[in-house]
Amino acid sequence: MPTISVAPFGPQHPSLLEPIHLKLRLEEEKVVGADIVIGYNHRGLERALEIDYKRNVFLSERVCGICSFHHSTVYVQAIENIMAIEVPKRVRLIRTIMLELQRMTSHLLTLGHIAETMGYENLFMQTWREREDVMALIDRLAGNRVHYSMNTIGGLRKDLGYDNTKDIEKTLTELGPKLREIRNVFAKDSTFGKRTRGVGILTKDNARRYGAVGPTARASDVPYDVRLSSYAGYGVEGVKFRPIHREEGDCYARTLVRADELLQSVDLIMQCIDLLRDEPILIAAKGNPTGEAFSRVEAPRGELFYYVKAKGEIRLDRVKIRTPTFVNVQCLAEMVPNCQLADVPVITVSIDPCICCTDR
Amino acid sequence: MGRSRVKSPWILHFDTGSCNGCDIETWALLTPRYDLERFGVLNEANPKHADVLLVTGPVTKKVEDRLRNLYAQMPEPRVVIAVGNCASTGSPFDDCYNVNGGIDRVLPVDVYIPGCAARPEAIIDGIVLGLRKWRERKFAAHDGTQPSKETEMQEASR
Amino acid sequence: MTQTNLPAKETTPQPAPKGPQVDIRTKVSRMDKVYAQLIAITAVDLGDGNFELIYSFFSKSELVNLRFTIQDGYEIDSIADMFPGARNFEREIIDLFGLSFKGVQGGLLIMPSSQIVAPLRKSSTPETPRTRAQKGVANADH
Repeated sequence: MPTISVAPFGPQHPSLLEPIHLKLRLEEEKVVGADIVIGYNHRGLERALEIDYKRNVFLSERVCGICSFHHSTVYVQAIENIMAIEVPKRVRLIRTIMLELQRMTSHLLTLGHIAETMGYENLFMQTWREREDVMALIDRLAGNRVHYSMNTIGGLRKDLGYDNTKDIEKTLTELGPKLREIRNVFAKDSTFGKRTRGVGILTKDNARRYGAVGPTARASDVPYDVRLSSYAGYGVEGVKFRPIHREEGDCYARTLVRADELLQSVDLIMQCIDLLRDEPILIAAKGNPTGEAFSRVEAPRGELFYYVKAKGEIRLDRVKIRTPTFVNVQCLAEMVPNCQLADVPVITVSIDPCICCTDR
Repeated sequence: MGRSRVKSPWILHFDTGSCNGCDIETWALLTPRYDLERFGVLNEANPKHADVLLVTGPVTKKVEDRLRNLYAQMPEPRVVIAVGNCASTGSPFDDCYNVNGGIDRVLPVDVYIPGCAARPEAIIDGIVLGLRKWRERKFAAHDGTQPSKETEMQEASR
Repeated sequence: MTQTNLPAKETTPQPAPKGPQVDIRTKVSRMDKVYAQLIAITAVDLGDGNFELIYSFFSKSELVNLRFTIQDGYEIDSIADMFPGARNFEREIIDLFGLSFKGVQGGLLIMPSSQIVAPLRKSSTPETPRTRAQKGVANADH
């Protein structure tokens, strides 16, 4: 009768950026089951977000540092929806440019992290070096590398001038070939392929039943991408976009979906810059919001969903945040069984867990 | 003769519930643009080898005991550096119920690095300050003396 | 009526469901049959002893919201057998609102031993660093 032993993985581990705890049930070196323990990062933000709806524009950014502009955009969209404010096209396009730039930094981070988990230190350094170029660009555009604070209710606090758009075009044109090279390394390297193909498979049916979103779902043949719902600049005429998806459902597919989305982001940003016209960037909001709204955005890890209920005063009645990793982390229970213990860090990093988002 | 064996300091990085902005900026220090390893600093995962504890986040209730545990396992002399606004003072999470509000509610802190997120240049400044404190404690523990002016100049010029 | 504080943390559910029976499973199983994807389960404290549960699904390219009103103390049917992804949402609602789901334990985000109970209810006033500072509570010794 094989003995089952329980091994803890996390919350403090060299391959993990954030505290997550996996209780792995092992039969010798093979994993037969996993319990996922989260909650180390639970701060209680949903309660704090009820206090002041104007301050929330900045507090919602600080739910997560990697997808902070996405949180800020989805919150502002919800309030604009409640107050029936229609923002000008220029605002929608600039929001899209910053959202896609943030997606690029996030995917480069994940690709580097996946490489580092496998021991590809050089590839990790290269990916993060390219990421630094994008971060420096964002610093020049927004004034901050992590929390851009460019959104406000009714539009933007900061515009992108002619110099800024020329800067973006120049940086991304230089970066394009380097990103393609990184994508090819992930696609063609044989050692990477051996360690990721067929590892951590999530079937299409499980992806739907667990509610998986983002690259994790798109790599399992579920072409679910919230950008198709035409929020922000994705609905502007002239912006062409098709979600990238693959069928294998393993770690390789998840990595390649992200690498391809990286190149797609460059294309989307260039499309948006071409469509920018001279327009105001702020519509003044009058009074306090009353009502409720559901707002969704495609964050780098998947669908970010906010429900906001307001009652006509500074205080909000309810702010509910549903982050992508909250659902994706449950899929680990399906992906990890029947894999070797050494594969667990790779599988965990391939779903790109953002535990600060999960726990809020 | 014996005091020349002071090794280069190893850093242990721990996140106690932050938004990860400062954590990623800390990781960015290992990359070629900032390159912390030229200071002789290594990112080490084992608390029993670590000299410097680099902490982010406002210390959520669930993680508090683990933080104390990590600190207790680190050998003397040790230095604690709080990175970012939430680790230093707890804000912007002052209205969150599950946080303690800053590392200094739980551990003694030697260096505070402000910023939300703290910029990599600020983190390097803070780490260099922390390393200076650590070296003073190391020398004092070793033979009761302070580092000489030449050693300090060498460190400052790196 | 709203309770000012819940009884000490118990992991067993309430003895008998109070209030009218609310049939969640029938509507949710219709969603399962059309291969909809569960997006979120949101709980809202209506302030008068009732809670609203909103089940959001993505079906045929649009967002579908199923709303149910639950009385405090009612034991809600779990849908985790049809949608395993619902488990985390139900556990989170148990932690943050103190509601109960059949066969589901809380403890996802808030530890069972914690003094914080159902912090998102309108009636609860959990302590925060700001309220501690206002009361003049000194920093903890270390």
